Amino acid sequence: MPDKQSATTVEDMELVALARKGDMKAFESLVRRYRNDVYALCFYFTHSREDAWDLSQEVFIKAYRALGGFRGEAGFKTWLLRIAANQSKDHLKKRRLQTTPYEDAWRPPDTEAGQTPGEAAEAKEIGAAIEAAVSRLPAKHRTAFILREYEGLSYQEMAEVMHCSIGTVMSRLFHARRRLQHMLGPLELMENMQDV
Amino acid sequence: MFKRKKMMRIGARLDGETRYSGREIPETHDEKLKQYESALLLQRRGAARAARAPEISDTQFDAFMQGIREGVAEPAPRFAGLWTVASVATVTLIVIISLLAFFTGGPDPVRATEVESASTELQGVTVNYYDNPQGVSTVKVNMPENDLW
Repeated sequence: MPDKQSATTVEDMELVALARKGDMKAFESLVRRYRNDVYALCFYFTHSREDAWDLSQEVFIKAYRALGGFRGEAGFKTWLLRIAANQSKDHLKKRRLQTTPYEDAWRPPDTEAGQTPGEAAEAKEIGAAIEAAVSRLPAKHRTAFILREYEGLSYQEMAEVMHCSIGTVMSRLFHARRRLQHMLGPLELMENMQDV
Repeated sequence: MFKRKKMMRIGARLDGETRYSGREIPETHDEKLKQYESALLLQRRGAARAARAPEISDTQFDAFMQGIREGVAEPAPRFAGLWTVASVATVTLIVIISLLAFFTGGPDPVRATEVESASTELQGVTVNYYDNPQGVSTVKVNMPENDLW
């Protein structure tokens, strides 16, 4: 696995070098490669497909203009995700979103094997409750939780995206999880989930 | 604090970050830690159900990329220049106000007026006052020597 990852990094750096010289095809390859990582992160913050689409485009435009400043200390993907996280947080600040339209965000999960429609509905309810609770977390804690649980980033990658130490990553993640525990506890959803 | 560190290590272990989870946490009888671990596992299962982000499909990609191309072609907003102008204007304003305050001298200094009268209701205490030739007023309070104060 590390070989594949380092190959990706080398390839990224080559594409970045070409894109810096104005090679739009090279930049397009980078966009194609990371579009869904960026789009997903923006979506988890905004819960809106349209906003995530626009934000993702802005992220890539910003990245293109800032390519000269990319030194390759962090991976290109984590660099992009850092821009995406900051862009999304700024967007939320501007819109002062307190609540989020879950109808837009939620895609009914497929009924898993051996799962009755009732169980699927309950799983959907739990998912929506967690989404709602996550959106109420402070920005730094929310970012940590999204990067870890939804984007599946390692602590090292999270530290690069959030521009902080591994210790801070662990602390933010801890606080995010504790807060979620407190928020979801009274709903008794977590207990129900054992059976789902 | 000690428990918090243990909880963070449990989190790291469940996240597959063995490098940061430290030594394997021994079997604990601490109910709170056990509850925390099972709550984390449940939370993860819940998050897995919530995490269904849409994707930009290959058929949508051209439209997506077109927006980026158009954005790149537009001139970048020059916020840096705007900030420079705003900073220079603020500094200039501060300097002008400072110079005005310095050269106009500000308000007249407060002066003590002469004492018109002085009295006390304390028994055995006397109050006198006098003005010296320079116009400074002095009030003198005399207390009896056997006073407990």
